[in-house]
Amino acid sequence: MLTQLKGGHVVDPANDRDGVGDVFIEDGHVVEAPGEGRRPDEVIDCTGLIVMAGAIDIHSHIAGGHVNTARLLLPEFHRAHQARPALTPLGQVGWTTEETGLRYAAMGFTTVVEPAMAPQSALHAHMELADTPIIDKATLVVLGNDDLLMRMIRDGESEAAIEDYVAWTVSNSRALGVKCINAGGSAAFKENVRKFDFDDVVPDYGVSSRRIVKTLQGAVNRLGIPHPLHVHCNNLGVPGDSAASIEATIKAAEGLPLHLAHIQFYGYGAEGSRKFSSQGQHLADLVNSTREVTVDIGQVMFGPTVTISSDELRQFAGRGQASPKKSIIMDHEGNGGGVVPMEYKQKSYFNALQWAIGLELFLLIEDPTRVFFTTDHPNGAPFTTYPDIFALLMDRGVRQRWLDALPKSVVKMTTLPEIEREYTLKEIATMTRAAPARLLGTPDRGHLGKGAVGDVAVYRPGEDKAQMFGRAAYVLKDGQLVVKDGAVVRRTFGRTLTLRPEPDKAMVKRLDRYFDESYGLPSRWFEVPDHALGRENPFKVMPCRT
Amino acid sequence: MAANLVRASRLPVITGLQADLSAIRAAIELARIAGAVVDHRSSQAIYPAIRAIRDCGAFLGAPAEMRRRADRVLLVGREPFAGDPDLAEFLLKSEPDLGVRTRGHGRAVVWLGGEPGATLPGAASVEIVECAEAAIPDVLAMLRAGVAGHRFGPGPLPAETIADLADWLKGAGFGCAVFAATEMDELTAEMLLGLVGDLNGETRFSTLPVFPGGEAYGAALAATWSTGFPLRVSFGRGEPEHDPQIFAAERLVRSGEADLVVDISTLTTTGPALPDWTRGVPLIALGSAEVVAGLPARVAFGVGTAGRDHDGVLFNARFGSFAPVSASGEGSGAPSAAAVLHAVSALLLSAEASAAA
Repeated sequence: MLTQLKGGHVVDPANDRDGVGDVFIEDGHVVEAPGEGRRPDEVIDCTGLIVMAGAIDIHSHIAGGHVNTARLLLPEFHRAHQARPALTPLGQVGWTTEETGLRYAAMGFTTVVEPAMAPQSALHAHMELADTPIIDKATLVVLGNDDLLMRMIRDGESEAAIEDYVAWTVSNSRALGVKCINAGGSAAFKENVRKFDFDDVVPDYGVSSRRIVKTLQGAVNRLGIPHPLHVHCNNLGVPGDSAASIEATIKAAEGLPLHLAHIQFYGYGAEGSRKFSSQGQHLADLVNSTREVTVDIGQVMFGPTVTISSDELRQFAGRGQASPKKSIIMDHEGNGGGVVPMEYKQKSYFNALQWAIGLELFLLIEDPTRVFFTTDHPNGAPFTTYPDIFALLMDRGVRQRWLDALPKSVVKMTTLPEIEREYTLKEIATMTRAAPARLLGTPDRGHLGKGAVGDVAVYRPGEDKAQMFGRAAYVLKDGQLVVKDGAVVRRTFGRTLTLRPEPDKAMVKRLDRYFDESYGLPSRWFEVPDHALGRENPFKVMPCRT
Repeated sequence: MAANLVRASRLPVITGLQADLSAIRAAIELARIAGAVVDHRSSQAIYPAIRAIRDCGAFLGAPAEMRRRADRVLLVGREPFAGDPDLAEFLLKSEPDLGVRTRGHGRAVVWLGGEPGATLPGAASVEIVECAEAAIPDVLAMLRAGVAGHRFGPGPLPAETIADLADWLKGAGFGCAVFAATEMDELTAEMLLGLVGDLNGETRFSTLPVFPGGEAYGAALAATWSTGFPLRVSFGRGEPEHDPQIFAAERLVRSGEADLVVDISTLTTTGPALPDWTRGVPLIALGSAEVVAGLPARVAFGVGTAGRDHDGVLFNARFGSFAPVSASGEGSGAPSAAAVLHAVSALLLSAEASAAA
């Protein structure tokens, strides 16, 4: 079937399109305009509308053991449990697998990456993703606090051996990339260490956070995994130390690609009477001048939410701020993690400054191909707040109205009121479509050129940007109309994007032995067999760089 | 016929759920379509622990990590491993080999409330602290006070014993408290979780609740991601609603609110027999041919067992997560419960669609 999206304003930076035109889709893919005489089977009139590729979220905690633990901990955040759901953003998300898929689709997002899958709960994460409708999914698998990697580094094993281990982990867990979360910090916390810097060493292993990050960065790069090592730095959220940690990590990129996650949580200085200040300008300068790094923001928005992280040390340290006052800290193999509910209050100096720092970073980092749009869902805010953030980025007047509602003490501590930049539609499309596809190594999406998957988001432009991005006029997934006027009209199931690097046979044998002898676990339990997911073609394998 | 029964039902309850994850997911999907209630046969047994965890938080350990790291293990209750007897040996047989604070220290086990003379497979040294089951909550409260350095009055155990135990707990390099989710009421579980939370002020300590088998916990997890709640969920009013009392399958059938039971029990070929309360209303049964043959079911489906007749996924307590199982090759060729449930769902949906057309 040939579908024509007719006469819309097509914003497709990857193909240098920014003007009125048509997009044609056939058999789930974008095709060139057919010759004279062929009439489309379906015409969607896009006159006066904005047409973009489906959006891609590179970092959103939507599935897996930790996310599900958060659901378990917080029945009060779920819509059906409360009489007054409108007050709780997560209550509106519902944040079941079902609602996650439907609500992302309604905003025109068609691919979402779960960024923190533990190797031992890969199957669990993929089961949840298989139950998440409409959108395509992908995962990053977490290494960097695991016994074997640290042991291999300590014992001076070869680069090739470490690559084989990383390849096995990515392949078995059906991941699209590798993430490293407070490298060594979680392992150190199990040794009762309560503070861990980039050059601190993990007791017993004698390897530093820096060495772990550099080892994984090199292995990921040499394996040709398109997405650079995705790093969650040490000292998240700690005034002063967070900024020092991220600066040290950025400088350690040393010319090789490196992605730094939710950098807003590291933009904290320790100046001022409250010992909490913005390092936004400094951090943005550092990112601007370090061409090999990419970042995402982790914007904070006001309201109740929950923080879900495999940074067990950080979550332990943050449990005193839990609201409501309860948290779950998990001592698992490798990273472990924690779930701490949180309320970001507009009237709080600290929370309001966090909000401002996120926007400073968005606006002061110049290159929209290197800064990515995230709230670190749900850590900074639920993904349902995205439309408001688009409005804040695109409209200085909206920012001013939000600033007017903040405590005066905050406004004095941020450069946000002076920043004039407003994101253009082209920059939004770059940041949420073209650039993420390139960053993830998924050339089949993020654009509307010939051969791209038929994932399209059509928006009704207007003064109210939040309204525009909150309810897409049309969304097509693989060429099928799934959303109309912000409402889901067809519930389909997408696929999960993975890499399949061929694991070395000797490493497979070694890991069989290792997991059996060390943990008493058969290595086959770490596998994610296709049959488990109960969907036809659950995976789409993306190529590694050659 | 099964689809007709479900369609004609005012409120079906889908229960048992002693099945692989695909069947559990298919059961939840059917409940969503049919406006049914879903409940696991053993939900009641896990709710006290789940309520304690979600009301006051917890430190939770993965069994394999505790096996490699815990140098001091506190067992609480008469049968902490009742839900999974194999876990005792898995956890206690070897010595901790990770961590400068724990490796080489061996593994010491204190069993609060163990029967005198009780032994555990694999545990080199078990010190039993005798304590009547009913006294455990008080002892845990005294211990918590002792650990925090607070005063406490007389109780079931002498103050010196409490002080020694508190010091022992505080002296762990990495400690782990193990208890059976089925044995503890909510307040006792809360007290133990709170004690472990306090211990983390100075050292590292975690807990390992042992859940009963039969996929009670696996079903609760799957329901949590698909509905937001760990079962006893009703789709009767469209949106999933959770209430551990109101949506108990037994209560709904006994009270006459539910008028159809769909039971899914596929993990064994021998039973267990269905509870008597299911006899009050029509029954659709899914189980192995041997099991369903003896049931007074209106419709019976002989279905396969995951890990024998077909591939599947089961919650694995030793792994602390879901693990795949493969067909053994001697399969009966019976369809999977998931396939049957999907077929019923598809019939209901197509009937809906043709009614709408």
